[in-house]
Amino acid sequence: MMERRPRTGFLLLAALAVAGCARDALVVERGQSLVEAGATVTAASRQLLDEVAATSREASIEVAVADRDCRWPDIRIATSPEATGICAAPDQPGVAFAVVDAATLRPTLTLIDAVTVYLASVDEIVSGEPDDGATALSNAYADVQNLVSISAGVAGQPAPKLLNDDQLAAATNLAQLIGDLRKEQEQARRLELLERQSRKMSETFERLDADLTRWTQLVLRSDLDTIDGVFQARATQLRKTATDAELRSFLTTWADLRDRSEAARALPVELDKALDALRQAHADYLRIVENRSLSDSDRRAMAQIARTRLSQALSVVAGAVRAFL
Amino acid sequence: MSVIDDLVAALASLRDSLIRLSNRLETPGLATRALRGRIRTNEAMKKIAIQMAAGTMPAVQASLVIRAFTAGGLVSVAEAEDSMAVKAALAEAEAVLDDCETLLGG
Repeated sequence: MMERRPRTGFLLLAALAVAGCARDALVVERGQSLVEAGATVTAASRQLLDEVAATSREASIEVAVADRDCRWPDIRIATSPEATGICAAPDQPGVAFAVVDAATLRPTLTLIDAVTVYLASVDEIVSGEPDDGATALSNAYADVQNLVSISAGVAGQPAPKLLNDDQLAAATNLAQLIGDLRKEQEQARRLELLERQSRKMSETFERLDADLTRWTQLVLRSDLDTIDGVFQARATQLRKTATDAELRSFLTTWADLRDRSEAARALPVELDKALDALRQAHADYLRIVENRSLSDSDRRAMAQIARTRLSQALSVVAGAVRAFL
Repeated sequence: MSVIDDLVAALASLRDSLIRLSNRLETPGLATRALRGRIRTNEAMKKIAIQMAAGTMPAVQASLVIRAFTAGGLVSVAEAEDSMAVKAALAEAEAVLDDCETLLGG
């Protein structure tokens, strides 16, 4: 009996070690799925914001083209019922036409940066290549820390309004995580730090979802509708005065705009699918890193389901983004 | 749904009504007035998004939401041939948009 004890202990340790390896392998695999899903979302999100800013500028230009009394870029839409054109004369009441530019979109871009940096951290840790990631982490840390410092302001002085309170909280959490990761070299400890931050990152995904939905529904669609409205007014004029070639060219541009408007209507649904895929991949990742007692067959089944789900969702999203751009 | 979501829904409904009306209007002056209303409605929605992103969105009164829905209803039932009804509906929409612009910043 005395001889069997060490052997039993050895077998138990060996079994735990194998289970640990299986778990680590799954963490790596799921971490890679998370990185893949996240890269699609962050790329699509950035493309969407570029489109929001470009369409906003385009709308202001088309308004100015439709009414030569508009003084681009400072366009004021007439508010008096007696006004005859679209824009207000300098001495008439009017409301400023808002052009959404990169500065306005900065809070959302910060959230995308937060997701990107988080995914880079996951990637670095699961791939075990700290050397490649060290510089990126240092740069990201400097950027985020700088943003948090500016947004938090200096005592006694009002802070510039770069981020709203939720976004400042997300950026502060992120700065904390990156700061800890930079200090910690040991792999297991880094994974632990990442796990601790992961729940907070789930909230960041929700905020990003809400921001993107607002920019799409309230800004992109509104600017596209304004362009559609002024095209309608111009079409009335052009039908009387333009040559066939001029009218054909104009109508072709208008048809393209209608296609973009259709795609913009579908975009929130497709983005939602992409973010759902990211949320699901993230939730799977969290379950794996937090659950120490999954069987091998459980893991295999979960991995298969996650792969199928992700690949379906990502192909839908890729198609939708391609159709839009 | 928050009051802000309700206001967004009411403005979207007003915009749809203005689009349908402006498609039927033959008088250039009224068509341009309806187009201005449509653009101002779009601008109000954009400014809500901008204010929310910056965390500076002011509180919205439920009465404004109700007035925006009512204006959308009036615009949708106005017959394009009845210029008096069209003018009354557009005036109601413009009054609501004036208040939105005061709230959201011109």
